[in-house]
Amino acid sequence: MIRLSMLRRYTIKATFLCLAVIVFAQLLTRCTVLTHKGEKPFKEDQINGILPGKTTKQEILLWFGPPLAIARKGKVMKIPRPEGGKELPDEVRSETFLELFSSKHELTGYHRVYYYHCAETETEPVYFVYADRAEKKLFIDKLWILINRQTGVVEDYIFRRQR
Amino acid sequence: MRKFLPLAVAGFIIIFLWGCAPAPPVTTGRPLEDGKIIRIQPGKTTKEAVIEWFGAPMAIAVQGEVLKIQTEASWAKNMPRGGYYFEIDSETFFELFSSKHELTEYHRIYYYYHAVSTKYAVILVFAAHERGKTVIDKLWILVNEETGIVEDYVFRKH
Repeated sequence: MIRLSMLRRYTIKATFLCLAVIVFAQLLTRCTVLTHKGEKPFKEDQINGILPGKTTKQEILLWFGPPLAIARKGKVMKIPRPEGGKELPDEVRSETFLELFSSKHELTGYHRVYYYHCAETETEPVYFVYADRAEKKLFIDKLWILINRQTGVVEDYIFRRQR
Repeated sequence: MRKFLPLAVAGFIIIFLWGCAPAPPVTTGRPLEDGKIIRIQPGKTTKEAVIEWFGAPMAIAVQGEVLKIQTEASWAKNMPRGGYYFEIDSETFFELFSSKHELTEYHRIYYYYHAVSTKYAVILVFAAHERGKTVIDKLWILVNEETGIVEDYVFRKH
């Protein structure tokens, strides 16, 4: 009888101890940060190397690879979402990109805007015993390059770094 | 109480490592070895040889079409994520070759990639920092379907 009550006491103590360990460990793992890079990040020297009026389309393709989208008058572009996943691509009217350069340049049918982006996600898991959720931050660096197809030369560019 | 201490410590370590342990790399696609890449000879190499060396392409770009490409598997939180598809205009791929080649309706671009996703963790006493990284090597091969010959290629190693 005494043994049975001792065993019960030990079991209760052990259960409490285990629960405390789980909660404590979960609280500690709150600090976990996961950063995922899916694309090649833009290098400062490459961006600074773009010289409007001098840099060629071929150089751009060599440095950054094929663009994610090419904007030209009247076209609707399909742009892959920076965060990836199973979401459908964004459908964007080319005019929204061409508009970026419209006040400084007289745009013709030969003008194209090459669009690139590089995304980095930061996930901070928040645990509460067994239920967890994650706070996700998305940082996107974006690059738009105005190219004249007739001359094959870069006429302008805009670069936006998010962090 | 002392009896349960080792058990508690072990439990603590297991739970602590649960979300932070380094994981084996996750790969997508076949490795694009330099030895095979240099064997591609524009104007000589046939489409059959390309398929023999690299396997079926991850995507084939046709002019004027929207290309559906499988995303690479990568570490996200505690498990590999992938197998989704994204859409991109084929035009973006053809742009790579447009200034050197007169592209016709017979031209196709065979697209290959090899992605390796890794993660590692720095586990401190009261904190853990985990970092994941995915590197992708990409290969675009311009093939003329009429002649069955490779006309050009672009390889980008991460």
